[in-house]
Amino acid sequence: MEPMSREGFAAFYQQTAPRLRGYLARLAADADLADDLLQEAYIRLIHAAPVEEAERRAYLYRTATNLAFDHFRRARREQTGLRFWKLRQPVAAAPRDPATGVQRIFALLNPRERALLWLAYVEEASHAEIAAALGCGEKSVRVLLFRARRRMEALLARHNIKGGEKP
Amino acid sequence: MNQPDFEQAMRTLAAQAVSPVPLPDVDLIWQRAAVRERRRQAELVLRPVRLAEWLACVVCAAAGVALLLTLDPAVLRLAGMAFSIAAGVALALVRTLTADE
Repeated sequence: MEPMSREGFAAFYQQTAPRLRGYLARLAADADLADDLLQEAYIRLIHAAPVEEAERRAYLYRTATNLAFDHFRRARREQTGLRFWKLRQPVAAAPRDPATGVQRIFALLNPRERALLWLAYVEEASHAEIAAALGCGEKSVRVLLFRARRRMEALLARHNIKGGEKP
Repeated sequence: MNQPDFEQAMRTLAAQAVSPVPLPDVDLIWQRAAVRERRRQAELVLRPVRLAEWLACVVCAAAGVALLLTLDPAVLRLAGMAFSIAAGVALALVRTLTADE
């Protein structure tokens, strides 16, 4: 199998990057971080052993999801360290895109729930595709997705979000 | 249950999925990948040198410890100790410098 050419990569990027950035932006709840993760995912795709064209998208989503989860784990460790040494937490920069009502509610879910719901209801991915992206079994996806949906419904009700936005 | 709200919320999120902000430049990503690959190749070429440096440090450290254990006079013992410490520090430095990102 041939490695990806620059032109082939550019075409694949234009085709997939807008949706992947949307996914990462909601998963990370931070547009700048999403752009960093996006670039890293594509760099890893270029470096990966030649991936079948049909597999590229799945590879990309799996890599991007893993990068995002690694980032969350690292951030949690850093925060634990800062708390342990009683150091001041860094002040977060103002978000580039202020979140809307639904986006704020979505950000209250944990990263795995956000990934599940996004892939299932926005990307309309199959359970097999979601399982591949999140590295879990197909049967687990069904259960986890049900729980994530219930949690999102409860949050929408608690924050009185009607019809997708605040009344 | 507020199923319609959930579905509407997901539709709203889907509608907001594509940002109007331009995507990161595709050429820049390709170039970054090329730079990283060049750096990886350079590291591969330097690997035997790094290994030799590491082995030299281990030998120095072992020699220092042997000197410390075998020699009796206090001055030589101090010298051996200093030598071992220096080798240990060098070993730590090399390990730090050669550690992957």
